[in-house]
Amino acid sequence: MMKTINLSLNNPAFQDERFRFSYIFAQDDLKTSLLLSGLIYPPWGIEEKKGKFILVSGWKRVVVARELGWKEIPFLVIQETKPEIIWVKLIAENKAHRQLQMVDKAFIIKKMLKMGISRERIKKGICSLLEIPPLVEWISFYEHLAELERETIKVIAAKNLPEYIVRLLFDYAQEERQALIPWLEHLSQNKIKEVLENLQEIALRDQLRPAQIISAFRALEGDRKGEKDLARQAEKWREHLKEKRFPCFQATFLKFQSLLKEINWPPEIEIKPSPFFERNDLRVSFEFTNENELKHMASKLLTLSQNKKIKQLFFGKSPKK
Amino acid sequence: MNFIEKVFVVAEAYSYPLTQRILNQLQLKPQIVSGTEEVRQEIAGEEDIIKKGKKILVLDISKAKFIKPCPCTPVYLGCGYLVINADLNCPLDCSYCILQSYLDQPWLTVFVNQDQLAQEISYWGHKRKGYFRIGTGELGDSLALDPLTQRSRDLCQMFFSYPQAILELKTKTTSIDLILKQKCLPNVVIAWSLNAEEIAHREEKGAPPVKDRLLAAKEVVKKGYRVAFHFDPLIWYRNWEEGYGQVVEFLMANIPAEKVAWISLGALRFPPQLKAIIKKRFPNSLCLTQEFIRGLDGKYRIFRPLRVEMYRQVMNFFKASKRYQKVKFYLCMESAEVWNEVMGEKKRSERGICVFLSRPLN
Repeated sequence: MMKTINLSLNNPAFQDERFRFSYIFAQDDLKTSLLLSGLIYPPWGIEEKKGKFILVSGWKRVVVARELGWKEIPFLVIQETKPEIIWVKLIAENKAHRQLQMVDKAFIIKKMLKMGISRERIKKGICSLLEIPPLVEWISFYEHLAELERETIKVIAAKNLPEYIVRLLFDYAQEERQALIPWLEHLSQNKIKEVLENLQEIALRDQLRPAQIISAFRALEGDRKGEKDLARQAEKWREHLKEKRFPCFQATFLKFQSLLKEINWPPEIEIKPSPFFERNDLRVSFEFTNENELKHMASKLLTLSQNKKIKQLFFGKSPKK
Repeated sequence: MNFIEKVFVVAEAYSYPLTQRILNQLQLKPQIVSGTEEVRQEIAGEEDIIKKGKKILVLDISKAKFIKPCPCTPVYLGCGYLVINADLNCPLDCSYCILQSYLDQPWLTVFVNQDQLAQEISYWGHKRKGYFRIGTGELGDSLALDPLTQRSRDLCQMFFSYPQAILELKTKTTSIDLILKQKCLPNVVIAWSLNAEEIAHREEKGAPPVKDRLLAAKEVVKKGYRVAFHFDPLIWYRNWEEGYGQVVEFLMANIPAEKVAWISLGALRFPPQLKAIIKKRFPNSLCLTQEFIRGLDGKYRIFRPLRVEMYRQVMNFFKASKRYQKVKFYLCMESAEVWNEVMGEKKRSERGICVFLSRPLN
């Protein structure tokens, strides 16, 4: 049994957030859609007591309708009182038209726990619906995610960060995450992972707190709180961490590059060391289209081979006897 | 062996003498199972199944070959070693242990069909006329379960007739009682994995201090055995030179060089999938802070100049003693380039390394 009623957007039904799990979403597309076609699918909810309605599904639509200055919207009332069944319907309905994000799942679990639905019930009845492993450890993971500060959750949602990276974020203190987020927003998933891992590993190796490393970088860079180009700053931060995390490799790589400059290695001849200098061999490659060009390149290589400094390009050395 | 909480016996393995010997030693009622799936069920809900697995003993029969050439690692130089997979897994809990990701069965397995093992040893003993090295320490510690299984005694008996087969029993423990009780064979080498004391304390949970290991080595030397040492994995940390130097000094002060069959060095390396396990189980492990690169075999390895520096330094500590200069050193899973950089020798082949290590000094 269902009925549709019109409800004012000031109705308390739209203030009770017990079933709300969508907090972070792009409003613009939905706004355009509502302006174009109106509210095709009305939000739905339950009648908890006579005349006391609670919104279950349609929070995004309600938020945008308010933004548009609408006063009243249609509201579908379903007859159901058991919270777990309502959640199952809500999840199924959402899954029918979109893929639930990790952040959505986190808020679903958080709200269910808050309503007193046990971990065991969630493990048995909800995990498979949410497509997560039915383990208490995973429920705790999502619970933890929902407790993170809003800025971090926004980045997790916007970048669609996988579980591994979210767990890396858990390892940081709140103030550390807050310091990192403005940079992370401008990095790709892989780079976020790299930054979070490197920072953590440097801290462990040097027995520092990540906050100290962040502060040291800021001091080095000067006070640039007002700097608009956060993307550039984020890249610098990433490079800084890479140098700190792999000092020997970075120094070797830079030495190799500067040596090439010193001996005037021609850019038209590509030279590559073995990956990570793991072997002694170097590879050169160049293009030529005729005999003369080949001779020209070969003569350049011959001249280079006579440079005394060329020996320094060869990496491995035997020990002195 | 009071760390063992539960014993499972696969039905087929029940009647073997080794099963009966182990069950008589343990004060636990065994659970007879038709296969290891039932064991897997037992640990399924555990948060740390690796930790739990170390408390579960499974007696089984091996359907695969016991003896195989050591898989080493692709691209890098091997040493022609043969491995005996008689026991799987280890009660010690080292942060860097490859078995955490290598074995899909986290429990301790003892294969009890020693008749098949004896046949295989006989096969290799007849097949190989020259000296060769063979050992049990690849997929488990050779002596950690010895008080329970007495495997060392059985193996020594099996190798008695093949003097060209050099049996290496490799351990981090001090479980040498059985070794000391039996007659010493010239082709049996007792080996210890060593590390800087700080690394052992921090990364090798459940293993005795390095000094105790070396004192155990001293005991078996007194009994007449030759010994070997494996500085593996070498791990970079702030005071690594001092840490490894102290261990080498203690070793040289207590073990006569002429009783040392070989010493190997190997820098920390592991497949990428192990990192997540280490991070989860040992979040403060120094293994997570190494200056790793991806090696030619795809594994994480310490950047070459750093590992060469560590190898050279440890070798230099040994070179301080004239007697130790004669000891055979080798690098485990290293490239020809690194061999040449460290040893100052021409590129060796796997066969060359094998012959060099196996043949007796005199």
